[in-house]
Amino acid sequence: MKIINKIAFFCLLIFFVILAPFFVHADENDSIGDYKKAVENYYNKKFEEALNVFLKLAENKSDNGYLYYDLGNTYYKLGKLGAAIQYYEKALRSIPRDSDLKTNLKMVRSKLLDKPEESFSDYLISTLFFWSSSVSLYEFQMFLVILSLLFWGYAFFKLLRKTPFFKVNFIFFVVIFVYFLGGYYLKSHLYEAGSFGVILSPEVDVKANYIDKDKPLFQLHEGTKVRIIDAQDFGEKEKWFRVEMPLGQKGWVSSQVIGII
Amino acid sequence: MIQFTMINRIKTFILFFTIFYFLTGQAWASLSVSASMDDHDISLDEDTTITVSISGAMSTSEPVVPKVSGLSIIKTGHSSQVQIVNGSMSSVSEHIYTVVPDHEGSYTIPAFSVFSNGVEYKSNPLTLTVTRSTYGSSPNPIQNPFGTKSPQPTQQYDQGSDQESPKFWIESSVSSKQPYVSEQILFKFKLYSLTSLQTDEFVLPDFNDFWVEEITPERRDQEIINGQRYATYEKVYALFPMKAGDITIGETALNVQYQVYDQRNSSNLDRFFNDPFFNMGKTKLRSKRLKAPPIDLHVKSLPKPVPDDFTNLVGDFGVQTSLSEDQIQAGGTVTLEIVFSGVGNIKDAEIPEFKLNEIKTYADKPVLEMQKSSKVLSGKKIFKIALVPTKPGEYTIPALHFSYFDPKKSEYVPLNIDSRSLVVLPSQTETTNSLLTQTFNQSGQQEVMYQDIAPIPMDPDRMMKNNININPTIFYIFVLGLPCLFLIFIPLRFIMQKTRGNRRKYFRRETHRVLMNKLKNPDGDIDSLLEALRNYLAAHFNVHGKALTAAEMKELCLQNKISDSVANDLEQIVTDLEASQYGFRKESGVQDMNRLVKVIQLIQKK
Repeated sequence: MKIINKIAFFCLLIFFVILAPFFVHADENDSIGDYKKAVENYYNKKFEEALNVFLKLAENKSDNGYLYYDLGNTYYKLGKLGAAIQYYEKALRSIPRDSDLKTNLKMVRSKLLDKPEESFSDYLISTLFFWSSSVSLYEFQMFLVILSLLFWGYAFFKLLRKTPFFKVNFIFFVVIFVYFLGGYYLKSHLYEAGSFGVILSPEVDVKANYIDKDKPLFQLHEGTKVRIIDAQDFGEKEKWFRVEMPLGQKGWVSSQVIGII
Repeated sequence: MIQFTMINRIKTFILFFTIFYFLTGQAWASLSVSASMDDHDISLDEDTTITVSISGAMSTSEPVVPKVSGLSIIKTGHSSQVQIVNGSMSSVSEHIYTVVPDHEGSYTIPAFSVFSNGVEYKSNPLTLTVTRSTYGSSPNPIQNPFGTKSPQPTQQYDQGSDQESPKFWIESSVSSKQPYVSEQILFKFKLYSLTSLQTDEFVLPDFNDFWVEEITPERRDQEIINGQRYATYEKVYALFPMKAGDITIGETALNVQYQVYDQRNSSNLDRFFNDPFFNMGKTKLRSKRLKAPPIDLHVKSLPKPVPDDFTNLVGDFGVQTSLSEDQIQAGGTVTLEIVFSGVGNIKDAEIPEFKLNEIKTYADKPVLEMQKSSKVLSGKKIFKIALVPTKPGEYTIPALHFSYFDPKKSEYVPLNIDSRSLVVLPSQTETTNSLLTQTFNQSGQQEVMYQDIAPIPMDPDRMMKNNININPTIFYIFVLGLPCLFLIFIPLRFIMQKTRGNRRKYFRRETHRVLMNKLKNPDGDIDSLLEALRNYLAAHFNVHGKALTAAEMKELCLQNKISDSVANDLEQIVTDLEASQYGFRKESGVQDMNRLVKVIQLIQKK
């Protein structure tokens, strides 16, 4: 029994020692000075200058919701509603409960020509995991990591101490764990980066195929959110996305007129 | 009696058969072949029928069809009948051929040959004259439905109607032969028929230089011409010439099939019952390709100079505009709708790009609504332009000027729209504190009007927030790794436990075997016997006890719930064996061995 315990402890130790450095990665770039400058430009209505700095910062910072929010604001001030919505939507993935973000997004949407009454909503997500829209993926990840540590740590403790393990408790914890893990999987795969896009041009013809001569099926206007369901790549300059509207209409648009969320 | 009757019947049958054979033999002896043709004068687009009649022989060869250059002779049917008229029997076999001419000219079709019993019989030769194609027309000039006389090509009558009115024909006509470019003209195709026809293939001209819209797909009616009621079948197309110059609309063709009454073999009785019901089986199906001649048009160019505000419309049109709201807030949307409607090429309507200062414009895709009637193609085209004023103020949407070409007046007609004003209420400026304005709509419900976006907070620390990234792969390994490790250790533990248990069982079994062996085969070595006993007890009770004393053995038994008597016996036996070992006891050890076997059995059972 002592050998088993030793092996188990050794495995756990290796597990944590190896994975811990990968787990948390904090971006420590010293970009606060640039950021202050960009915000000053924004307040001085030098939106182009502010935009350039924000974009540069966004390249270095990965998925900073607040930076995306700032970019959305700047694009809005420049009159680019499509790009503004694109960055607000990006920010929403990281800071879904931010009231300023939600307010701005709603306001910019109210100025769009196309105001779809339906939104992209998957049945499973909206019913079984209704709360998931208020939680960012990162928060979800952290929660699952803590849950996993607590539960499986407890299970190991029971295993190593040879104390009785109650089946009912074990099954209950496994069900809870699987529920949250399933929720995370659905959220991360249905709403992962690159799954959605926003129309950036004032007016876009959605075509039945990616051949130019085809007649347009329907038209979309700037700021309309679409789900990207397929892509056709003809090299660097020519790429087409197959997009889907909330009510299920599908068609192809050039990648040049779509901002990926 | 019965046999006599049977013989009589056989005799009667042989007599009758002999008479029948000789009678019919006489009749069949005279074989004749004749050929006849339905029409000896046909046009290139017609065909005619040759009937080869063979009478007098029940069995002959197939007629040999002569080859004639310029004619195709195809077999289309065969019939035979046996007739007994006034006691004389005759057999008639008919072979029917359809002759399709390839070229015009006069032809002589040589005789058809038939062989019977090695003898060749020939029909009479036939002559056929094929003239060039003709176009069907009415017996009298019919007033063109569009007001012009239809052309007068050669009349074409169907079979057996040389002195009568034609039974069917087709006509094609246009409403105008000198239209302007893009002017709507109607092309009408009409079939007139006195008899029932089956229409087959309808070949329209190639309208290559026109935009074509079918406005009357099919209309069936009746019309009285020269006192006779004709059934009519009509199709109407709207044509819009796309280029100026001389254009020819090609010929229109229609293949029809009709029934003709076969009078060649009809008797007086047949003619008496001259009724379709009685004529069943005596009619033939014939086909004919009806043609209407080409129509030449001269399409005129639109007069120059063409106005700058020309909308490409040619016909009779009007325009209407509307603004969805006269007063909006800055940033809101108002829709300007321009609707062109009328008769003509509404599809081609276009307006110049619409731009306004301080107002963003987004032109929507125009909506086309076509209306088709038997006389004209009309419709409307709706242009919608979304206007988004960015700044407050009072704007004027300037007067709009368009023009179209009226072919009746041969001039450009202006379409003017008065200017409209649009009031844009002030929007919130950058310095406004309140982001939201609460208003009440008509139903009294509170509405939130967003006027400007929330600003960027002056908080550089925001840059450092929300920077935690977990690599998805690492995340999955971390979250799923622990349960996987757990699942691996559960079976490992089980296997280890099982192995350990097996080892204990093996020792038990082995020590028991050694002990029993020594008890059953005593060699007088008490020391080794006691050692085997101690090993057995230690393995059985899972203790380290190679130096167990008799008292300790008893205690061990009691601890493991072995009965007192067994424990005491064991203690006594071991004490006795030790006494024997060291020579304190003289009795034979055989009894001790037997007692010990019983005790071990009891312990083993326990």
